Amino acid sequence: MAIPIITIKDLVVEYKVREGAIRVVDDVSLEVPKGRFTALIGESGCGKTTIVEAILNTLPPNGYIRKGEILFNGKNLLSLKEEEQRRFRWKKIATVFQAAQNSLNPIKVIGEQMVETILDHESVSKKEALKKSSNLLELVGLEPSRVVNSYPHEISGGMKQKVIIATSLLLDPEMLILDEPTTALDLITQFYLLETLGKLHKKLGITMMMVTHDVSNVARHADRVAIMYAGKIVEVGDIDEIFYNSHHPYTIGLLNSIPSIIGDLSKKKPIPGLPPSLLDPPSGCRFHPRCSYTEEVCKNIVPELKSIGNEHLTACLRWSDITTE
Amino acid sequence: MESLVKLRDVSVTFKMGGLRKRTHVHALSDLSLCLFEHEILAIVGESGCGKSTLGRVVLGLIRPTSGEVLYMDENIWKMKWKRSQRSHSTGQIVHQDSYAALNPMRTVYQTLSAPLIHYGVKRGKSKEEVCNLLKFVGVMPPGYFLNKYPHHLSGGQRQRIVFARSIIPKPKFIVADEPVSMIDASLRLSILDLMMKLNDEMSIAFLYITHDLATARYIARRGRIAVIYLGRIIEMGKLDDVFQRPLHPYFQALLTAAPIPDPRLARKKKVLPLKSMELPSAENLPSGCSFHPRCSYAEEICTTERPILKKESGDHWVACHKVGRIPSWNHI
Repeated sequence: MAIPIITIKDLVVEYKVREGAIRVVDDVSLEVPKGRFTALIGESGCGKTTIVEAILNTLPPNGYIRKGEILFNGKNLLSLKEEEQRRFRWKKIATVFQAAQNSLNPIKVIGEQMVETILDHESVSKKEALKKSSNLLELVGLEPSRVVNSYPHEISGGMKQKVIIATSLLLDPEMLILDEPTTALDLITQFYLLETLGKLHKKLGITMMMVTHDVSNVARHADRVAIMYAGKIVEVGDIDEIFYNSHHPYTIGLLNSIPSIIGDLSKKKPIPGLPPSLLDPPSGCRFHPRCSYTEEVCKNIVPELKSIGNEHLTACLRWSDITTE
Repeated sequence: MESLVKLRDVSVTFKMGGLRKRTHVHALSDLSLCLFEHEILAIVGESGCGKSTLGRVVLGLIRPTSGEVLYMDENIWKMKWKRSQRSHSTGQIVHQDSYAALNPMRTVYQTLSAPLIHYGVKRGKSKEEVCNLLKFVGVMPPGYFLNKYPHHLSGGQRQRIVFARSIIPKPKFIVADEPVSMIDASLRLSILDLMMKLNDEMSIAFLYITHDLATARYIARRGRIAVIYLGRIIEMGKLDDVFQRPLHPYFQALLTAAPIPDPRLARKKKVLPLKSMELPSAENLPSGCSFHPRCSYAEEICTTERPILKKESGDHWVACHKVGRIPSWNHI
């Protein structure tokens, strides 16, 4: 197993709301291996974005980390001072958020915004900064000469998203986190953007973590997958293990419920029931009310995420009875 | 099969801008289409291609700039007001955002009982009827949901309520405009299954508008598909034929770009054979075939002459000058 760049240990994140405290991330442990492309997959409201916000310490005002540790290259991020944290973001971990197209400054040309970022963090000449910006724009498949002097409204949504990705790489971060980078993009634009990410990962060897609800999006480029359900990580493994040799009923159900443009449709079926409310989650295994393998024990004991060999971890009491197909 | 709604050379042009700079957006251009009784017709295309405008034209919500919209062979824009009112109630629409479609101040019972009473259910029986309706669309147990407000419900449940409301007038067809794109992945199929059930048991025809090829393939597996590019149909036919033997370079590109939830196949995918990823503006359409600036097979004729939608085989229609002369397409 590659060395983990990020190690999350027993993380609990809560939000204070009118009804009390919602535990959005409940006792999550996860290792993100260095140099690989990890996908964090879950449905809306399962807590996947909250994990990213906890890593970057950008939780909303009513959110707080109840307990747990987040280590980056062995260093606890939660003990950093605010100024240290500010320096740490972008320099070490860069992030591309959902609908990031809107985070460009509308009254400055792209080149100026990029150069400004470099000059703010590093002591280089303006010329060098511009050169670096152009190189990165080229790397993500844009024509620097055309883009550098354009305002954000002059380029398309897909190009803006690529500019954001180039910008995120300005300070040579060790890791890139992408939160739903393709929402609001058209099919063809989405394809090109994912190709660009895959290419960057191969070329630069940068660690990537992509958070998404859409399994299809990561099938081509990711090499490791973590599946989240109702605030917990239920399965982690290499992508082929998760897709073809899963031992968790939620993963299998989720993959079975995704329609595809090829293959047999008659086997596809939705998962019965509804995702639970995190205000009052089910006892024991949180998936038990929707699971067809549920036994009495599933209602009482919370399954732990444990290794079943092959760098594959699953959180199901009956994992040995459950296989894909 | 009887035709329900027929569009004949329909064009829709929107005027944009102020007094000085007037521009015209061509949402639909000379589009002809037929929605048959009891069929499921999927309309696919990228954002801005005019697919939602098409749905609104079919319902009579937008008056076409030119062309005819026929309902049961009668022009709906020339009907007497009373008749056209009645014909409107034979078509219903379901939108993407179920939260916006329901009145937040009304309970499920209030939302559903009002139209039921309007369509002739006795007041004393309305509760029973609402319960039956909820059972039919799979909101169980119905008694539990009667007094819930929309914000108490999940997205999937809300969309089921919207479908329940839309079938009260016993419509002949429903225009479903991206009805599942805001619904959780694990539940999407259950809403598509509900639509197929309405189609089966109530003989309601569906015009399923989407950008998602995979859900289109799922719901219209026994139906037809029409692919729209910049306001024109470029390929149309039985879904199985079109997916197995896509003939238009644009639809081939869409199929190549569509992600596959299977890593081994996805990794083997080819690179997209397109010249440019940008969609031209609908204000200033390219000459000839509007796809030619992005098409890697384009020739001289494609830049000057617009291809017409022609029958290739059986019920498979394509609008391309080079049909049959471009490489056949494979998933991998």
